[in-house]
Amino acid sequence: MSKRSFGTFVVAALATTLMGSISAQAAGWGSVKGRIVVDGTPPKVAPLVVSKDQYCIDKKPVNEAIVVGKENALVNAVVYLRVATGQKVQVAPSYDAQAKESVVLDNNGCSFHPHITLIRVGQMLDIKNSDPVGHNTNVAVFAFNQTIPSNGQSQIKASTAGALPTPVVCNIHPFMKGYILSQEHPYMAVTGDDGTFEIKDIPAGKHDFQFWHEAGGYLKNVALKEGKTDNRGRAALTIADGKTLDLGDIKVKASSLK
Amino acid sequence: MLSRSTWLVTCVGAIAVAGCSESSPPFRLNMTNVVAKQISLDHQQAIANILGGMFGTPDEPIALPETGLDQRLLAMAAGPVWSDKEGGKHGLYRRHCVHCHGISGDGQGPTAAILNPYPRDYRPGIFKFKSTYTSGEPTLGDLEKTLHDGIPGTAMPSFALLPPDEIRALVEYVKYLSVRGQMEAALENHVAEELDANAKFDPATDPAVQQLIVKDLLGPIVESWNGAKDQVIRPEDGAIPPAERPAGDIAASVKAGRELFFGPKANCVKCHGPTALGDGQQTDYDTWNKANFDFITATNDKISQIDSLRQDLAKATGDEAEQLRKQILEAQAEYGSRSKRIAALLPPRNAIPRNLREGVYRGGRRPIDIFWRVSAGIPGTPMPASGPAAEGAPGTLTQQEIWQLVDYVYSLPFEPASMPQKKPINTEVVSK
Amino acid sequence: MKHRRLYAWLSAVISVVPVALLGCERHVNLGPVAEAGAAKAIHEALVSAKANPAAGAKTAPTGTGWATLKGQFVFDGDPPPMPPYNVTKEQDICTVGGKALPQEKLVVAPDSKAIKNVVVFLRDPSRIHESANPKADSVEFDQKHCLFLSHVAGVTVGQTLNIKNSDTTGHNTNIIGAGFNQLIPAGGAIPYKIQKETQVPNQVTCSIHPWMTAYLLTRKNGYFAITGDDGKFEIRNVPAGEPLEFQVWHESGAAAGGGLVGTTADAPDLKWSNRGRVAITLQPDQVKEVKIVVPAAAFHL
Repeated sequence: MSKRSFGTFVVAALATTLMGSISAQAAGWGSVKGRIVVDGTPPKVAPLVVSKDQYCIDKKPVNEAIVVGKENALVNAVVYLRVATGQKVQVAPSYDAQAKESVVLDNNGCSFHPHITLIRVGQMLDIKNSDPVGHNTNVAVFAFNQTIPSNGQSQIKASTAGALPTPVVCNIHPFMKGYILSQEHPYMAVTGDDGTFEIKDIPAGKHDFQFWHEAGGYLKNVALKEGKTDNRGRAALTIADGKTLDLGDIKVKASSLK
Repeated sequence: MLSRSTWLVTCVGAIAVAGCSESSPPFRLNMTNVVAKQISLDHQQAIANILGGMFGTPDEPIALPETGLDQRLLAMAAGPVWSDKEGGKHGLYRRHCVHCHGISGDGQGPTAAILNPYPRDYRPGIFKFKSTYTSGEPTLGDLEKTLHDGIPGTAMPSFALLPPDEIRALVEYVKYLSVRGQMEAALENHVAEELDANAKFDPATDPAVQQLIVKDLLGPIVESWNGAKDQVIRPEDGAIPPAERPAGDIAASVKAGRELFFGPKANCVKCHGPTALGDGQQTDYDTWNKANFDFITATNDKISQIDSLRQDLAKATGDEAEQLRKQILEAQAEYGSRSKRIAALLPPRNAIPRNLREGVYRGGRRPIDIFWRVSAGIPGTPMPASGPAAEGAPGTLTQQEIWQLVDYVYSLPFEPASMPQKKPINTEVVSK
Repeated sequence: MKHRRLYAWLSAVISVVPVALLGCERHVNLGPVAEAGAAKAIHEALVSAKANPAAGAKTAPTGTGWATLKGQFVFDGDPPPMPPYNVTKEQDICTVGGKALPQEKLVVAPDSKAIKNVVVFLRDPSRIHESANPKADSVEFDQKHCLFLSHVAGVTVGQTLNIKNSDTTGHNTNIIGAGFNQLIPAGGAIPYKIQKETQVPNQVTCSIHPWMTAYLLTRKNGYFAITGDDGKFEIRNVPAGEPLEFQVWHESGAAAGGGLVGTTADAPDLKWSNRGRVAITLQPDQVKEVKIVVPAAAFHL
């Protein structure tokens, strides 16, 4: 049976190398950046019900489903390049070092840091627990669910890519929630406290970009400099060699964050 | 002219034949997923056809060579129930399993709603009681054991009286329903994420779609099943406690296990509770119930979304208003299809941690069974792994510590419930 | 007649009720059912060889005769320099002349670019030549200067590893995953009989000197090889005439489980998977020699 499965594997491996070589000639690299802001009054999120462990109660973890910074900046929105199944995108050599680094996900103050983790397939995910209480970290996309003792650490290799960010939870502390996005390539970004994001060294050409937010899901019908995102929160953007495509302020309607 | 009675009989006959279920029941799609992903009718039909082409029907299952499934065993298990002249049994799945697990293996047979726990839905390919690492599929031996022993504490009976070849055929059929279910989910994801609403999706005419289906979607599923035998967690020879041990050794091991149970490293107490009655954490869901729970929650959220779109509309003009009207209509349509679907769902139930004082162990009561439960956790449930996530990966507990927990779990039914908890226990046990 | 009519009504009603109860779920959208014709067309398209060229070659006939696979692993480009081991204690014993030795995560010969310590083994052989039967002798596994002298070692189940300590300090030797973890006193030795096969070499460590690392491959048969300084390996008398699958492994291999993915441009009959597994069928008495070029990206350092 293993021989049998190996057959399909060889086909897969060959096809992958083929596609890789087709797209190997990138006509240079460019970047995209922008700032995502909320248009209107952002909806209020319910406070977390922290029912367990005095330590967690004292730490007062907040509901990060919608975080809005100064000037209505939308924090923790995710922007990433979307590649169709079976396709590949060439990765700039500037990302070589990153591919070998591990990504740290810390249980700290009874919440996940970062709230949204970005990882490339093949990278190691180091899961830490900086709290004095034990946690378990349940990363469904990698079928991983392990206890992480106080000051302990566990590790898993990012094995598969997910089309969208998927939840990371702690079953011991059900109020803890984070997300993880795993892609075959490094072209992903999460908006910071000021709502800005930047993705560098993308192969020049036209690519599909996905705009996503935890509460809003697909960020649909969002006006961009040219055109708008479709009903799956995607837009085709053209990246030019040596240039940075500045999308400016991207306004997301408050109503779409529900 | 027909008499009224003849007419009636004909009419009833017609209903019986055509009105409801045809004589052979068909596979159905996972409509909860289909509605949640808002898959168009054309694409629903395309997915049903592709699955039909890859896996056949409940009467005539197909084992594509890529799946590694055994056509002969599937034929034994599939189809209607009958016996041949030599007494050979046919239609084993419908004879023994279908009333709980359903024709598509969705765990929604006619008896499902009155059982607790609900029968397993095979379609996600997640099995709780197995010998492999958390992310691995079960081995066929694991599934055979579940059929042979049943699942104590649930409605799943033992099929120990069936001949081994019939058990083997049923296991193959369960695997078939899982692979089919996983393939269905992969197709639905693909359609929802990658295809435009009116894009054609037909492998009969498009070699690229054939390639996509067999290589990109089916490939990883089959690889995972075939790799299960390399994923078995083998306890280290030196760490397995001998069957016969001096009472003192056992007592020391139980004591160490108890420390772990209450301590912050293994953290068992958080969910199984300070008295191990399973009362520590009772508000969580397993993955199967969570799917339904999330579906219901997302449906209710649609109402507030529609409300806030309406508020926007009140302020908007021109193109923007037009856009918003369209969005409201879409959201309303989605809410409509979702709320209809909710009526068909089994009401979500919480995952209750095992009461360890009953001495009933669902995945088997051999020490190795409990060892596997602690080491790999129970996939699909909140129970996390304490051992490594893969061969060579770091685990939270050593194998020796896991065996100590096994000893403590065995001792729990005999520990007085009033036995005072260890205080202080490194960290507080539960909140006030 | 009236009675008969009533009877007909009743029987009709009675027979309708169970049908209504059992068969029809009126309010629930059950979704579509596969159309027989369309499903058949899809089935035929999928089983035709185009969708999967490997489909036909699955149930391989068991071949006869034996063959040999040999070759050399060569690094493509310039390998990164290896930093010295981080010796944090007992400098007098654990260094040579006060200098820590370079790490062995990737050992490449400076001129020939030959890669040392690559493991190649045959997965699931259908039959085993007598020359590849497991052995029962004793193999030395020594440590000196707080290093394992065989950085990557391979043995068969049944062989005994004579774990020695040639240092003047105590070591504990922990074969992770094998359940062996024992203190070996200075100048002492402890035998360990190999019991089970591994698919991935076990890591061997010493918790007293945490920088010490080695790898131990244990197999049920002799179909394995570990490259030496010249990067060469040879596996003799493997089954001919049937599909074989070799695993290539290196401690710094970037593929899943440490698999090492190389390229064999001059031997297109070798099919590499992305886990570092190689499929090939050899003819009886064939001696297949291959040059395997490994790009830097195949290593995770």
